[in-house]
Amino acid sequence: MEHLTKSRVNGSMINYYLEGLQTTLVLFGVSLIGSILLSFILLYLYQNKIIAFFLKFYIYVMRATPLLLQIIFIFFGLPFFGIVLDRWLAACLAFILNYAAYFVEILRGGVQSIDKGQKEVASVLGLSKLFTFRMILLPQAIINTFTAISNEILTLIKDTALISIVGLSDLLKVSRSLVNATATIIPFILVGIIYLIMNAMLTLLLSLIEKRLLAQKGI
Amino acid sequence: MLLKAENISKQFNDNLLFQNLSFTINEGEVLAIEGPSGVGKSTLIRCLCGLERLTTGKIACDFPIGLVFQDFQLFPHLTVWQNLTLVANFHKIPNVEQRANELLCYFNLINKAQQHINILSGGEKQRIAIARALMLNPKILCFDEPTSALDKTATKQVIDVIQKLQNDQLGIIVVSHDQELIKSITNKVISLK
Repeated sequence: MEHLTKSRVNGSMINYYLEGLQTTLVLFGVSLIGSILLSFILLYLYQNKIIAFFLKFYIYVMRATPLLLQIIFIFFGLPFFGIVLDRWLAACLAFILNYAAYFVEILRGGVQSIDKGQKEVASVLGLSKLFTFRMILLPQAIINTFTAISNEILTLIKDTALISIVGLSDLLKVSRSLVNATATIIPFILVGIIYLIMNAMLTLLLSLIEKRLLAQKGI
Repeated sequence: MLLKAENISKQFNDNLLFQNLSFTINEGEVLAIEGPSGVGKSTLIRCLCGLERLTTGKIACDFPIGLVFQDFQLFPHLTVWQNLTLVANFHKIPNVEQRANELLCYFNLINKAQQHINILSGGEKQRIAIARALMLNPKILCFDEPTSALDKTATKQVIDVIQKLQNDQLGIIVVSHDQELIKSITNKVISLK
């Protein structure tokens, strides 16, 4: 990609963008699903005081250090401890671990804002802890915090640009290569427009989901 | 006999709420627990339902106990129908849909089945909370201040419902300081001071 000639670039620019877009979207999708699922599991485990102690440390580390550093550590640092990960796996793992920490904190706030009577009524009705969490607490926490969750999701799609550090060709890396090859900044402008379009579509989708969730609550 | 409480006491730190209370509940009986705010009326039924531990004494009961909370505590993200069926499905109670239909008809709420909780009136919420508790076929049903958030019409409806349940041979325990309610439905009264 770095050694493109101008003529080759003009002919197949769109293919390079598509390749970059694919990388960006796959990373976004895998990280989003992975981090949300992980955050649900961690949120449930948070109810145990001993596990909560360790989770607080994990969340602190994830939120107090740059995501870029975490990606670098997982891809370039772990091999020093004998753990060698493929660049895709390293990137996905870094994103999932980082974003799950943020989602847990947001959802934890959502659970705390639920009336404690909901837990009590579940207990009187003989519901198990897991069922109460899955069917009563978690859905309400998601509804209560959906705006904050949406913000994180929009940030995630922009953060995917950080993976070029491990050598994956995402949208930003592709456009940088094209800038080098064509000696114009048009690829940067184009990639900016692609991000704008992606975020506009995502914002629309998230606001539709939010409307549905609020309707579920009868608001 | 449905329930027997023997010498039960509850103490929070140095605050003694009630001491050496003994009572029984039989089928079709309504027991009222009255007294000023803060004497432990609600704590007493929370102990009966297992939400609080007794300091001393014991409660003997081999039957399921239901509780209708003062603020109903319906599940706000679910519809009326889901509020009734979710819990029954968890317990794998047979004929859940038929039972939910019967209860909604019984409480005159069948046309509200698909509605969300937040758009219902206080009286409707109260009846749904009772219906949800009845889904599990309890033998004893406790009410925490059932009329405190209701107007006169809704209060009358709650009294009618409690009397119907009494006729169905349920044991009822009502925490209230509504003298009108206590006079019109109860067989026994425990006064906490």
